[in-house]
Amino acid sequence: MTTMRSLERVPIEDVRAARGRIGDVTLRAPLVRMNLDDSESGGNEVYLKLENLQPSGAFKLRGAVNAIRLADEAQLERGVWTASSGNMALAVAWAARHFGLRCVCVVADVSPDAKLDAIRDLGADIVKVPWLEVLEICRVHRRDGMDGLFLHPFSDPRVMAGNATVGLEIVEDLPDVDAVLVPYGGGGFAVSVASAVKALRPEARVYAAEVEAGPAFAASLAAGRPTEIEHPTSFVSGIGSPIVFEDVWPLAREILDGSVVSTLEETASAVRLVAQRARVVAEGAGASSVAGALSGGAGEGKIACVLSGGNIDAGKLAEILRGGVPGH
Amino acid sequence: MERKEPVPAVIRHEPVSPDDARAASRRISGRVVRTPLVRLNADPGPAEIFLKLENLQPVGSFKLRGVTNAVLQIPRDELADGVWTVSAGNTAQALAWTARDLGVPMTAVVPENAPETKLANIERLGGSYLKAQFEDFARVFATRSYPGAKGRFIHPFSDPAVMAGNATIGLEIVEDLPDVDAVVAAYGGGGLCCGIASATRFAKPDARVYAAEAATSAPLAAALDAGEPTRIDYSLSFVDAIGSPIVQPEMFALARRLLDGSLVVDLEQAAEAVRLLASRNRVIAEGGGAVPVAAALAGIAGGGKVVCVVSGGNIDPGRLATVLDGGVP
Repeated sequence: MTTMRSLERVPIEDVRAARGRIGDVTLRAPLVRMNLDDSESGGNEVYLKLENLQPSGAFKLRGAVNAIRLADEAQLERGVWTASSGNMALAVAWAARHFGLRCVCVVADVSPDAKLDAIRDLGADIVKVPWLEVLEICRVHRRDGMDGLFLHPFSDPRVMAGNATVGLEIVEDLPDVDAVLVPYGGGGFAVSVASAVKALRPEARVYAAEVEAGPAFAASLAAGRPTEIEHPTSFVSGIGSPIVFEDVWPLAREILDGSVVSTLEETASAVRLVAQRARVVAEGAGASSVAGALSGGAGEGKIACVLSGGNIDAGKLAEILRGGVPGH
Repeated sequence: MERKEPVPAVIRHEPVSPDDARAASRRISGRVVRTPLVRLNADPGPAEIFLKLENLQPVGSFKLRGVTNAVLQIPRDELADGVWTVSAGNTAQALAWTARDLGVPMTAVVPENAPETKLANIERLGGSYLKAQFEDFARVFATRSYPGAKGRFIHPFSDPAVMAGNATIGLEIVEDLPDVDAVVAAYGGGGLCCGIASATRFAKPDARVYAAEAATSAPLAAALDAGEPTRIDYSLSFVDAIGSPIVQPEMFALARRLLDGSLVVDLEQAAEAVRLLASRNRVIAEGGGAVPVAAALAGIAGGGKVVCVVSGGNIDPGRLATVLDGGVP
């Protein structure tokens, strides 16, 4: 195994530079106030950062574009690749098509066809490997036989700086923000957003948002060390994990103010409420931040929820709109 | 004692002036969302289609712009008794939101058969309502008075300040896409289309501006054909925020002057557009909000850079579920 270096906070000047680099390709997603009454919001002002409006459907495009723009031409001639069948794959494929680059996505062989079709539609090639190998690539940042620029889904400083622009924009738009909730998947996004928010407004609290299906960060916080847990599959596909990544853990524990864990039912309710009151489509992971804010887990004041993505199957969304919880 | 509001003469609508449009932009800035203009994520088609996402306003429709512009022009000391309007729908929600923001009372005069969900939306924002018999409700649009309604009256559409607020949409479109070729917006009362066309007239004079209507209720297309307001067969559909048996005569005169035509789509096309917006762009549009997108996709708005105003997103979840499953509610 290669030596693993722990992540460090993203310097705010790197975040500002990233913003200048990605602004013409990504959307400066609006921060909108959610239409709630006091009984729903607990008297708090709840805001949504609408990253689901990015052309690829999730915040991941910010990091992908920043990393591509920082790479040298010779490297890009051999294309780009990533290890993901989810939002990172869509982002890298979208960016590659935009810049005219070759793209390969290494995906778990259990990935649903619908997801793979969406990636192929963007012109990317797919390499199927066992699920554990995807995790291993994320740990060691390489795979034999792969060529070109590797875009790590979360723990790459260039990707992190791009993703951290979400935090920069939240504080710009809401300078007196009290709390920010960020979905915690690999953890790289949560610590990136927290880096920017805490640099600009140290008194703001930043929480991880997780769901009951695989809340590895909350479990590790409770245990005081990285802890392996069960990870049942659920309709919330963007977050949830059996483990916390060891390179992310030290920074996550230091910079985040805790984890707010929602049930699948609360998360489905949040998807429904976001559809009705904010008129956008959120995937389960994207709405987990809203579920956390509405349950009171982020405390009081002006609360910004990062609605990280909106890539949800139409049938599942219809089921949620009718009052159901997919898979239950 | 209650002050008697004079009953104004019928307003002859004029295009919004550049000064009024720009003043409205400054006035409402910070209180309404400067909504993003994004690309429709669709396969290559007849035009390069963009979306102006007014459904992202906190009350779910563009109405917040006009209402906010009108209320903020009233001196603060004249707002003590609050504000009121005649609407159970998007205007009522927009006014309730603005009144809550300013900390003043708000009342909506609503038809007696208004659905509970709409009334709940008003109360949720701290507003109150007065139920009126339908004839009395309809009369308020002309008389601008109603017994027991306190404070300053805000007309849902027939008010220059409201139309100036709508014009800010046109200004933002041209700012964000200086080489826009066409703008398409739903035609309800006409204030949205005419407000936008007023702005593009001076900001981008060669851009085309179209109204969009659903085939089940397209009074503007009929009036343009006939050269005068014409009563049409009108049937209710899931495209419920627009459509009426006849166009408002005062607004028709202006619409005929400013607009390049009315684009009519059928309900299947409208439903398909709602579905596409949800799956490809992850936004929820009501039927009326998706009609411009349906028109652009059908190619009837012409080629080039076509901006579709997604004017609102207040659609019933059950109906949306039906659309997502491939149906037409």
